[in-house]
Amino acid sequence: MQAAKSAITTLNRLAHRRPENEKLVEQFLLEDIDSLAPLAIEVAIEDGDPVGLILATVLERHPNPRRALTLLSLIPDNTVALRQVGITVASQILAASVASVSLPKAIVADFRTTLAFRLAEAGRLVEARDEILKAISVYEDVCLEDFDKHGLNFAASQSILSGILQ
Amino acid sequence: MAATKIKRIDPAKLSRARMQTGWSQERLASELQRAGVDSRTSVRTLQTYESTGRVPDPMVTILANVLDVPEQELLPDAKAPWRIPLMTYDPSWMPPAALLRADVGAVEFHFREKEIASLRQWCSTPQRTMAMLCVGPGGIGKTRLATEICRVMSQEESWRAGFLDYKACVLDLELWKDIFNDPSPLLLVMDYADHRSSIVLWLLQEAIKRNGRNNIRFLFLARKAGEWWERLKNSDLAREFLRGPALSRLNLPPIALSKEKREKSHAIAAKAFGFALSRPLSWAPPENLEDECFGRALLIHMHALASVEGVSLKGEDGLLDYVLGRERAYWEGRLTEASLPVSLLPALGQMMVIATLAGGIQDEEDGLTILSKLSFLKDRPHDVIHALNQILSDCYPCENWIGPILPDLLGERLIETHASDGAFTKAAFQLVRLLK
Repeated sequence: MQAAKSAITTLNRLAHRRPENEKLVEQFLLEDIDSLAPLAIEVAIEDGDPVGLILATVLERHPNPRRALTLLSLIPDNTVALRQVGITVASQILAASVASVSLPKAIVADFRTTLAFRLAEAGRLVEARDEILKAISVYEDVCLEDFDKHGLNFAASQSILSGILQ
Repeated sequence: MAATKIKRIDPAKLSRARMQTGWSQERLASELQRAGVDSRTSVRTLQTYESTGRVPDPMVTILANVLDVPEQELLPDAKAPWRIPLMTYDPSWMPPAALLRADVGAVEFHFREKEIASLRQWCSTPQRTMAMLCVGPGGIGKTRLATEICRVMSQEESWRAGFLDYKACVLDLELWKDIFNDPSPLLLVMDYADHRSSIVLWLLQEAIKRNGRNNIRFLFLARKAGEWWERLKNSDLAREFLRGPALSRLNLPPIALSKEKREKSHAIAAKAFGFALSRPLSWAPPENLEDECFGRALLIHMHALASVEGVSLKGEDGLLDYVLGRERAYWEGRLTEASLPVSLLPALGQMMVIATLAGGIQDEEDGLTILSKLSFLKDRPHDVIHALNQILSDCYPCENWIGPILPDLLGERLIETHASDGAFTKAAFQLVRLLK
C-alpha cells in the first residue's frame, strides 16, 4: 500500500499547486475507493488540502454505510482537513441507521450525535442544533427506561448542544 | 530470468575499504572481473553501489573477498543508522537532474548564514533534548540547510550527525538506549517527518526517557506543520516535551529576498553548473527574479542551469519542462548506447511517471511487471523489456530498484505533463495499484 499512498501524496501536492489537477486525485481514488480512502485520510492528516475535500466528494457520490463506519473511526475529532469527510460519512451512517427498521432508536440517536458534532466542528451550527435536539429527545425517552445505559450519551449530547448554543 | 536479490551495504564503508587498498573504482572493477565476476560489473555499477548501498546479494561476499575485508565490515552499522546525504556530481553515472538535487550539492552552500548560526547555537544550548521543526515549500532548501548543519556539527564540532536512514533504522529499545546514552552529542535529521510521525514520536519518547547527559537534537523537515504535527503535539507520550520550550519551529524563508541577492545566488549556481558541465560561464539572470517562484532556491538553480546552456526560459513550467527535456535527452542517449531504438523513449517516460507516483520501484521483478504491462511495449521481446528495466535502474539508482524523478518538484511536473493522456493515466493508476 506504500506505493498507493505515495501516489495519493504526489497527486495531492500537484492538486495543491494547481486545482485543475484535482481530477487526478479523484480518478486515482476511484480506482478502489474502499482500500484507498483510509490512505487518503492519512495523506490529508500529513499533507492537508485538497485531498480531504476531494475524498468527501467521491464518498458523497458513492455512498456506502459500511465503508463510512470504518472511515469514521479513522477521522480525528479535531480536524480541518477532514471536516467534510467527517460530515459525509456521519450522514451516510445516520441515513442507513434511520432506514433500518431493526436498529434501536438509541443507536440512531448516537449516530445523530456524531453527525451533530461533525456539523458543529464545521461551523454548520443550525443543522448541528437540529440534529442534536432530535438526539436529545430520544435520549430523554430511553433514559427513563435505562439511565445507566444511556445516561452518558445523553450528557454528551447536552454538552454538544451547549457548545453549539455558545 | 530470475530477479536478483538485493542486499544493503553501507556505501561509505565500501568507498573506505576500496580506498584503503589504494584502488580506484576502475581498478576494483578490473579486479572483480579478474575474480570471474559478471563482466557487466563496470565502474558505473561500482559507482551505483558506492552511492546507494544497493548491491546484488552474492556480490557483497565477492566484494569483501576481493577487498580482503570481513563481509561485516561492509554492512550498515546498526548503531549509527544515519548518514549525511552529500555526494559529488558525477555525470558518468548520474542523471542530469542530479545536478539540482540537494543530496548532490553541485552548487556550493551559500547564504543562510543566519540560519546556520542559529542552528549551531540551538545545538550547543545546554539542554539535553531539543527538537525543531523546519517547514517550507518543496525546493526552498530545507534538505540542503539540514545537510549543511550536519556537515558543520560533524566536521567542526565532532558530533554524531546525519539524516535518519528510515530503511536501516530499527526501532529497538536496547539499540536506541545505547545510541542515546552514548556520551557524544547527536544531531538527528528526519526528512519527510510529516510522513514518519510514528517514528518521530517513538524516538522522541526514548530520547526524553534516557539517562545520558549529552545533547541530543532532532531536526524534523516537512513541507507544512499540518494536522500531523498537531496530533503529535497532543499525543500523551510527548505532549509535555512538545508543548514546552524544548521545541522550536523554523519557517524557512526564501534563500534570498531582494533581487540583488537572488542575482548573486543565480551567479553562484551558474558558476557551479558551468564548472560541472565544462561550459564557459554564461550568466543571464532573469529580469523577474523578484517573482514568488524564485523564492525557491531550486527554481533559481534551474534558471541558472538554463542560462549556462544558453537557453532562455520563462515561468516555472518553462523551467521544469526544460529540465525534463534534459532528462529525456539522457534517456535517449542510454537507449542508443544499448542499441535500442529511440522510438522506445515514450516508454521510459511512462515508466518514470509510474516510478515517481509510487515513490520508486522496489525490485527488479516489479520493474519487469510494470514495463511488460505498458501498452506502448505490448508485444516487445523480453530482452527489450529487461534492457529498459536495467537502463532505468542504472539511470535512477536508489536503495531499491528504480528511484523516482528528483527533485520532487520535477517529478510532480513529469506526472502533470503525462496527465493529458487519459488512457495512459488510467493504466498508470492501475499499475501503481499493483505495486507494494
